[in-house]
Amino acid sequence: MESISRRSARSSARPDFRGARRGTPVKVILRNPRREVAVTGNRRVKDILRELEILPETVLVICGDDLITADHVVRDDATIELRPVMSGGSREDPL
Amino acid sequence: MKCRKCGEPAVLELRRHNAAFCAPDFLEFFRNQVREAIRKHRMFTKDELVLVAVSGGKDSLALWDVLIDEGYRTTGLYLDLGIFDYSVESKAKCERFAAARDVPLMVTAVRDEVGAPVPVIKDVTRRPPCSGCGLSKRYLMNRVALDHGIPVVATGHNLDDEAATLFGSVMHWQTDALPRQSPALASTHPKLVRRVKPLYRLSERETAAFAFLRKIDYIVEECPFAEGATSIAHKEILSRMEDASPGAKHNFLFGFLDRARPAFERAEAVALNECLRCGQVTTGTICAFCKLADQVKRRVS
Repeated sequence: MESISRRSARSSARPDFRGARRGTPVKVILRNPRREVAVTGNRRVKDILRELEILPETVLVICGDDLITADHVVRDDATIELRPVMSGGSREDPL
Repeated sequence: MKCRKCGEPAVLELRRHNAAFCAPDFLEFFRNQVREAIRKHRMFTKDELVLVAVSGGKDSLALWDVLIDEGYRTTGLYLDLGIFDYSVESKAKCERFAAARDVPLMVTAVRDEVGAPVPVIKDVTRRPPCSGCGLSKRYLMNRVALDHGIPVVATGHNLDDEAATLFGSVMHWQTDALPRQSPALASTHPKLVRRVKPLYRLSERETAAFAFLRKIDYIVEECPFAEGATSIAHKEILSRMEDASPGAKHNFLFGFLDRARPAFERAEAVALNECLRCGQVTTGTICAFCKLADQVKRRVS
């Protein structure tokens, strides 16, 4: 049940540096609150999301001015932003 | 990953559609979904003025962007909730968006209408902040539209919003709420304007991608009061289901709209009155908004 146990971008992504020990890591920018983590590069986006325990459907993956897909390989030294897409609050209850 | 339409590199995968798109084809897909929503539910015509409720977030600004491009006559409405820097920033984004496109934007402050901003309302009522906020939004959107003779209010509710609301209603079997959940609510009283949700066919991630690709400057930071909101918890549950089974949210919402909602609709019969204080529509004698304003004014003064 790996997929069920994974979390959305709102609450996950512990600020550790597990990937920083090998080569130049990928810098990952997270939001709400804004923070940065480092992960191992030369891997697909989907593998990075899995390591950070982020559900792919809860973020846009941004590299520079582009959106990148889950099969995109992120090279060492790259910077990506995982921008959460979930918003909410007051419930709809129209008359 | 390649675009399903043209074979160029894709920028977004839509697992629920078993498809991926390049930027131009995704933008066209998005606009087609909005066109289909407007057409299917006869939301409004190009002869009507549409009041677009904007918050500075991705959904409402993406909606406004599409409607402007499609040639609809629109006026924006920003409700200033008075939530510290969050409201200052979101209001500025709406104003910049409107100025860049040369479209009108109205601003109404909750503080002026209720007697206090949302953070104070939260403290006075001792209820979740989203409660007074949602109540004020619904009331003011309708009243502003009526005051300006605008027949329809469009909001940026997306598929995830609608699925989460439905989930909450079903979890508590709020059968009175189920028939009112619809992409388009007709005016059932002379003082109730139509309410429509042209983004209901599009997921939250799709509206975010549209806003990003259109370079819309929206507020990424969350409302500081959204943390812990029930609707967020429901969205997180549904997102886990979607991850395990792509299309789950779509099937949940569209299955309800197509097959279950009519059964609840038949059972609904609510008498609507006009509030003795403000004249707006209520099911009682004094509307909930006037009661809230009374409560706030008593405590603040």
